[in-house]
Amino acid sequence: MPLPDKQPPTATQVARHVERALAERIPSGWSLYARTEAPTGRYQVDLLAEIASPAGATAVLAVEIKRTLEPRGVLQAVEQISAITNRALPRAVPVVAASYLSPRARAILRDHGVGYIDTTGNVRIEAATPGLFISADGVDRDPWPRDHKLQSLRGRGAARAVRAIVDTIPPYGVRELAQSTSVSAPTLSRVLDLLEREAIVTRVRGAVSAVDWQGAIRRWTEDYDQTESNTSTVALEPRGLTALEKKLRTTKLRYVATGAFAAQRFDPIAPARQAAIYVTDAIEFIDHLGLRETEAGTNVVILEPFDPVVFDRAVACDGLRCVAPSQLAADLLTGPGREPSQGEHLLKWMENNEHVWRS
Amino acid sequence: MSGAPNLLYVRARAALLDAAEALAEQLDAVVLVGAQAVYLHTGDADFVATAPYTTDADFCVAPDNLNDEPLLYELLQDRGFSPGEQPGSWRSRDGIPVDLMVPEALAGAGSRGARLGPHGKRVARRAKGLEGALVDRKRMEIVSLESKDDRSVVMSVAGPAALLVAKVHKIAERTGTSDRITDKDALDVLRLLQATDTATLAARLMDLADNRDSTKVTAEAVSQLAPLFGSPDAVGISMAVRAARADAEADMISASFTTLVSDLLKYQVDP
Repeated sequence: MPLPDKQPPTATQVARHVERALAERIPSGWSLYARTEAPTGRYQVDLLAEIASPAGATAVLAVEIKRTLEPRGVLQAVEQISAITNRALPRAVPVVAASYLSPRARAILRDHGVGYIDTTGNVRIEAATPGLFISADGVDRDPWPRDHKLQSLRGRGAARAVRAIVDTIPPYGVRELAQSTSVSAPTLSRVLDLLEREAIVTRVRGAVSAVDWQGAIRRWTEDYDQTESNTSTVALEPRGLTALEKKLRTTKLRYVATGAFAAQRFDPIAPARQAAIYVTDAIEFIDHLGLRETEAGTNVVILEPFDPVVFDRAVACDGLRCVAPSQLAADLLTGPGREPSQGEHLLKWMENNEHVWRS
Repeated sequence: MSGAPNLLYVRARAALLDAAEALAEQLDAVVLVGAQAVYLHTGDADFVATAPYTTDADFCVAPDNLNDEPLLYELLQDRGFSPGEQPGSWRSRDGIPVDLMVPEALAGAGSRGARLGPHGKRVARRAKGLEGALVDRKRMEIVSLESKDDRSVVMSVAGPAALLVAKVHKIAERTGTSDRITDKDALDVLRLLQATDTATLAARLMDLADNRDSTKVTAEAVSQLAPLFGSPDAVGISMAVRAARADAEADMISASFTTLVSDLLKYQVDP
């Protein structure tokens, strides 16, 4: 369905989209009967869809329609539709639909066992009897962003703010955090607004009272990428990574290690085959450490960072300087090869060792 | 990370210590060579996770330092070592192979067994390329890798230059035989090149080239470096990649090898 340009679809258009999306996606031979604004006892459901299998078994979807729905409104929508299904339609599958549902909104719905459909193609419907499972991915970025609000965590200021928000244990006020982390208060405010809309940050009278730090890191990685956000140069340490470690332990140059090379120091995993190192000047680093530039065959990725924040709160491990776990997690989750799964592993480690890396 | 040493390597080290203890009275005439000597210089380098450990213990015998008695084979047999079919090939009680070799230039007449006077011609075999081990060697302490075994022995260990020459000879002899055991030797060459400062290695190779007994084998080995390891498609590099079981890192192994060999050859070690 062609998406309108400037404004999100109306609630009526969302409802029509839901009908059409279901009709297109049910297995062949199945039938669909949909009614909008269907009264069920004392309650009214925005859209009620009955999907029947060829054998005659029927799944009922009770769909709550929102024109727009930000993650922070998701819980309320879940409560609304669950209240109806629990009281009036115990067999029905609760579903929430909107013009656009962000990755975060979808994750919250999944966690609550509520189905979803949006007009960009994101769908997830699961019914036990008759067995029905529909899942598809649409877009991950709001096609109808509202101009006055920060929409992205791309960029240096946003990164610095996210790092500060993740690394600091709440409660804290914006000014307080701005002072302790040297991120500007206006930038912090705008990033906190975004994270609050995403239901990642909770604020009480302006002060931050709770932060879902994993959610913040994941939201950041939608806009940040280890290899794309930083400028990388590859080189070879012909004597291997053990020799590189020895040189790093004694160098006077400013550097911090990241990626699998750093991760193996927090939590033993398979030894890294490649080292990723942030430095201020790649050429100087290559010369100083006696690395070689080769056409094929490299084991060191030298990153000139998008922002010096990568050096902030670096930790000493094993005689090396490594990025802070919050930076490492974002780098791994967006890194090459097996690094994303190592990133998931690190998030678990961070969960169990919060006292070590958060202050 | 490296973690606990491989069990086979622990047993091989134990067999090495058994043999060194057995040969204690003649130990001044014995130099440790082979992979266990390489690891003493290089440590657990980057390929440990994938490369199989060696399990045998290789000794080079210096005929000039050997006393007429006690007899080598009596010393070995008294400690439970049994001779194999080939001259110089022995097995520990555990079944770990222990090899005694004499550099060909010093091994007297014959084709297989080394002529060692009263010690006979079956206790050690002749081997080409080991000549440097009697020139480039250093006394080192070798300790057990088992926590409950507190033994240690101080003995001569061949230096990196001598080991490089020996390994290159072994590889050059076997190229074309598609012998997977020799693949490991190519990885040992890379380990030696990685772990040894290039200027130091070049200087030691020149020392070997200056010594009468090792001039020829050193020159031959140096002349083989470029054809075996000097370009990405060289046979020695394919062997190292196979031994590391790291196809994904073939380019990195190849680039490291060619870089280090070209650095070394810049010193004009060619006699």
